[in-house]
Amino acid sequence: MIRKSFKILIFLSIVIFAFYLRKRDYAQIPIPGQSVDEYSYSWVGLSLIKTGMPIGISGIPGYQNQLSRYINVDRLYQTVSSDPLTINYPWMDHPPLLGLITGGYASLAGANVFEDTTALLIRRPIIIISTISVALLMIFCWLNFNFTSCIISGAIYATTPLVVLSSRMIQAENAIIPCFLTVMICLSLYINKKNDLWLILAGVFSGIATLFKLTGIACYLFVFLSLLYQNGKFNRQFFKDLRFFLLISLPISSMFIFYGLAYGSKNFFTILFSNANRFYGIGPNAIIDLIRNQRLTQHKFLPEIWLIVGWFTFMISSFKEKKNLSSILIYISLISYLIIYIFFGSQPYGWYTFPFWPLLILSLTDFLFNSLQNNQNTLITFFIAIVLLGSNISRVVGIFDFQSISNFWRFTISGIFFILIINQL
Amino acid sequence: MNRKKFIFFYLPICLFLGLSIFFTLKNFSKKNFSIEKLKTLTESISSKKDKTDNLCKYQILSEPKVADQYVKINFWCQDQTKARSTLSLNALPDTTIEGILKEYARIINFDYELISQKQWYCLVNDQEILNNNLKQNIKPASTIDCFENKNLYRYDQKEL
Repeated sequence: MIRKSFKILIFLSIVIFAFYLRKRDYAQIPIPGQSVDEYSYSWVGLSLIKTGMPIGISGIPGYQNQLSRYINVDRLYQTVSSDPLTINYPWMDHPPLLGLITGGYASLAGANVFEDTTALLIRRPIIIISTISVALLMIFCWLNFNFTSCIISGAIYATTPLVVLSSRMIQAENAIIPCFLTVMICLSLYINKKNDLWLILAGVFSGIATLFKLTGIACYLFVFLSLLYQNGKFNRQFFKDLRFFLLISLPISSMFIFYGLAYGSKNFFTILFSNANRFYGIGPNAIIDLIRNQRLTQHKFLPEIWLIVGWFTFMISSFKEKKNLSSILIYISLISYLIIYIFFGSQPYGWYTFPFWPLLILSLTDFLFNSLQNNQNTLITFFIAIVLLGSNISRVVGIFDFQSISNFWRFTISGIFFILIINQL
Repeated sequence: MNRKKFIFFYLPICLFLGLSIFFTLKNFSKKNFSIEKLKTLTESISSKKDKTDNLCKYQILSEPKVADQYVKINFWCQDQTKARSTLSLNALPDTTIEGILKEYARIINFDYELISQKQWYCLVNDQEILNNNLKQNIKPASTIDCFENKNLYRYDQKEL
């Protein structure tokens, strides 16, 4: 009992620390206005609540009602160079759930007009949602690996600088992440316990994910592939489970259609198809860009070694036979979102890649857990440890200060590599 | 769990919810949305935004890509500070000289009356702005210069 309470205490400490990091100076960094989407989501929610009409920033061709305006919220024209904003209504770029959360919160906090929706106000709900994501990632690891893995993965996801900064941005991806992680937890429990309740919850959260943004359909793909893995082939049981899952999730996703049709079918379908024909900005180098450039916004990069190493482990796991359910689910989750990412295309902006990040940290945790527990992959594990250690040292120690320990570094690392390769041969 | 029984109850609830969303939004937007409300939402100044009486404190960092459909607004202050902005004419609801200055005052959040109260000397394309040309529509690619007093000059040029 004491042992369990102690574990829960550590778990909660990491979650609280994650919240603290996300909350610290949240209204200053990322710089408000670098992504005006943050305001747009909130304006959609606020205008829906105040007037019943979703009004937001778009620019997608096909809108009948369009106006160009200077809305100087957060004094963005004094801090970030910006053109006038293209306002469209009824705004149908994405489903309105995230807007209703952030705009709804702003409305409750006293916002009445668009200029009231400052970053200080509208980013609060997303910080809570992002903190929930940390807790869910830890729960997945606790259920599927062990408590130590849960703590390690939670600590990495809670403290990785780029993840912390991205977690403050009002982007639909930050709301899709907890849905995706919940679906992963539910599916792992469903496969292990065969209780329909978990499949129902997976369906509910898959449906909710699509109400944040249509890329939430990655949850559907994940469930499809996981059920296929569980059943081994397209057999009767597979179709039975899939049908039940779709009967739960599709009606929730279809709420977006009911919502869109309320403002006229022509407008809704025009924007939907216009969205589908968006510029394929990620280009043919999408994968290398994904691995090499971790972006916060379109032009802000912050190379993040934990994520790069996560891609290493994902690639390694592609070549290895996966023996346990958790490894399979993590692998399928990454593949599912990768398919959606490549299919939807659009721009290589930071937020399109946010959902990869918890999955990459899970992939890294899975690799380290399996390698250490089964005493396998010693050379690769050591290589990964050195990449992580070296990169993190270089963040805090300059190259000139490093010279004092360079001899220790070069002899130790090369020596260990030499011994490990001798053992492998 | 009996899946059929669950779905039997679940689907009608979802249908009811969907129809409720449809009709509620349709009626609510019909009753509540108007162009005036749209203007209020997009053009009202936040009560929490700081108001300034220093017209050189803020400028608009923007170079709109609109060919010649822009107007430059420059404020030149006595303490050698300046605020230089370029606004897209397409984003201005009123393109008279007065309308543009009022819109600029709204974006920056200063009292438009300050310009006349503090006797700023304003020119449009080097022609003095007087009461009779205040209501005139501005030509594309025009420049409005306002000086805190008549003896000031554009600091980045030798003389007026």
